[in-house]
Amino acid sequence: MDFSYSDVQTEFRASLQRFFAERGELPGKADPRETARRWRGAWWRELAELGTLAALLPEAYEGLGGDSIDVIAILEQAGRGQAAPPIIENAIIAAGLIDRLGSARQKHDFLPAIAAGRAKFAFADGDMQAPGATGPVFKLTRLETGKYQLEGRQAVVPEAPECDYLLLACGGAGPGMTLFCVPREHAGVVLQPFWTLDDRPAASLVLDGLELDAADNIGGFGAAGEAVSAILDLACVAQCAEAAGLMASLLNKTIAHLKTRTQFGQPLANFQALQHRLADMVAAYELSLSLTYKAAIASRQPGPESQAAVSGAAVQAAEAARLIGHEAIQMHGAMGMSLELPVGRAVKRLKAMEPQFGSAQYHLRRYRVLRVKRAA
Amino acid sequence: MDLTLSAAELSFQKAVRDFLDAELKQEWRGVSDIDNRMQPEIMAQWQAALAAKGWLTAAWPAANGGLGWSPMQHHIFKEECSKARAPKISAMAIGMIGPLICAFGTPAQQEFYLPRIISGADIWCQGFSEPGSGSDLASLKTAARREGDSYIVSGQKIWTTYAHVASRMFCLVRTDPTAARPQAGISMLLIDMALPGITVRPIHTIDGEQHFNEVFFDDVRVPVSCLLGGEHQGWDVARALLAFERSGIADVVATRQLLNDVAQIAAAEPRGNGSLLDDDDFADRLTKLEIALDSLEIFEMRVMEAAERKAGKNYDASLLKILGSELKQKIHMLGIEALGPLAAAWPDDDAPAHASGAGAKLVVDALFYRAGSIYGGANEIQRNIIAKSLLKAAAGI
Repeated sequence: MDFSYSDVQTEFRASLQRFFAERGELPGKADPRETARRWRGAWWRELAELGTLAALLPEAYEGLGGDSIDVIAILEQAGRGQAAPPIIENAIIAAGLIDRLGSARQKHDFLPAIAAGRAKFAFADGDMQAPGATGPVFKLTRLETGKYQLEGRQAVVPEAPECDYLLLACGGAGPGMTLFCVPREHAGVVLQPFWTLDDRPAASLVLDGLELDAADNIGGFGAAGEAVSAILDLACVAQCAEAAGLMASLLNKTIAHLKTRTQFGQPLANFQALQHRLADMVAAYELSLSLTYKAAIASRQPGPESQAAVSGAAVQAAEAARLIGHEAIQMHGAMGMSLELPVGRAVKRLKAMEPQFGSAQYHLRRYRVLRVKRAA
Repeated sequence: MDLTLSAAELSFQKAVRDFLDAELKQEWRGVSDIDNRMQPEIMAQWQAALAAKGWLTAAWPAANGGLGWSPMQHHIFKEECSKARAPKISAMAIGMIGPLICAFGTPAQQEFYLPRIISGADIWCQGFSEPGSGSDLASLKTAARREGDSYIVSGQKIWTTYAHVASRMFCLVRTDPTAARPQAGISMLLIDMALPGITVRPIHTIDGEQHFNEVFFDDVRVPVSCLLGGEHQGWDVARALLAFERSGIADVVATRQLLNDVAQIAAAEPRGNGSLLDDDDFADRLTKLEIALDSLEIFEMRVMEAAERKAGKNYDASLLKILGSELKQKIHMLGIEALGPLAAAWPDDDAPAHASGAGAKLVVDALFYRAGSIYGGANEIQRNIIAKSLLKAAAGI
């Protein structure tokens, strides 16, 4: 039994920590959207130079051959640094899907470009994991011309305005899923860009008569379900790790604030009402981090066990994020409401990320179904 | 990072399982599932079996029969015992006063008391709390006045678990009422409960049992040879308890059994075409508790593993205590809800039985377990410890 990072991972985390601290957030009054642009511009290429985007890729494609533990090691550190480059969309989802499903040609074309930060991706599945969605959500039709037509919509596609390519999973959940890769600038892809509440680029997507060739398909027809499910679970674990990093950052900032802020002639740290709530925040953090570790370890062998672990981690992370986020703002008082302080921005990030790979409610139900199946 | 046990740990786990298969009699299993059901005779027999194997005192110092197990070995041992529903061993004798006598006792004290602890010849109780001194233990007033070769003890202890069956008490008394700090004037005495001047009066608890007692000391003459550690050093002796082996605080295995009991109750409660267990609202709440328990299970392993690497945090035990006790209480409350109107019936023989068979005891156990967040350092005190440690440390989380 081992819950520590390897020496290599620890060293990598240390260099990431320095990297995030040096770039970090722009000074308080700066437009956070300017920070977001840099994370997708000059800083993105620097992040690639560190090897961050190659973590999951096989060595044959200039990757580092890492696994789910490397993923959480990176994302936890990004969370601690309150840096939100689109690592999950690219280094996990795009790299993972193309590595598992792509042809030799597709791998050759895309994987080294992902590793080097030259090509950026966004992923859409028609909100497969939205409450009530049972799929199929993007409708796939084979036309008489031999081409394929995709129709459907998704309200929020993170990173879509900034990406070079869109990965589209159609056919809903399950083994029948089919994956396509399409350039962002393509007839039939209609994007309405906007910013998310945590200052990330996103767009609503309408597939309106999008026609694709067989060459745009990744991994065959109706054969992508298993890989997509496993990779989205890995993305979910990664996000739980980022959440854990953000929560650690919020805790540390709250502790520092309680120590330094004085009222009634003494530091806030002296007040038991606050001490006890701080203890509950730490308890929630440790519980959440524990299931994130479990889910990362279980994700090495995808299956019902890992799915249950991932869903458990997602539920616990959402619960901890709400408690810690809200308490961090409360204990900072009015300062916690200020956009200049990183506290509020971390809380917004936690809020915005929760539904991306399935809401807490979705994961709660999925865990329950898997448990009933396991018991049967 | 991985969750598997090492080859050595697996073989240790197998040795524990083999031992339990061979030595743990069927009729002993489950007798002390809940902390409040002490069965002294069965406990003594089970402790004898463990002592014969050398495992009863595994956590003691090597010189006194300790085995130098790693934190993970202790964890595995407790977990396997819990899964096999083995009787609890005496926390006060084996877990507390035994190691204290090993650490602070004179050779004569060790020679006299330790074999009696191992054989179960003595049942021990803990004389800490007083009517005016609960969480603020250092304010205790029971006085021990030195007179020749004796201390004359007078005062009162309360909430003394098992005092009505105990033959001995380890007791904190005030030997120096003039000390500058309240902690500085305290000593620990090992008191024979048969001494003249000791009166034990029962306190009945809300679960219908008698665990607690009041103990009155009316000029009880205790030989000076019964002083454990130095005179006025009792606070440090008691504090040493905090450093002892702490695996099993979160009680994960027993809590999972409780969760299964609650699921069984819900499955036997009809709702529409199905059962309460199919009700989305109820099932969601049960599932949340199950996920919290999964988290706690891994957190406990993390604490054990960190302890192996000497990387533990000084408030880990407090976190385990809070999380374990409060989760168990939440599960109890959901179980009571699942029982519906039947939860109002006191589980005498003539009370209606629940269809699940699991129901009757749950309310009583739930009532008893309100104590889980009070004993062993109230959860408020644990929260103080966690917060103060975090607010004092230079490094953050």
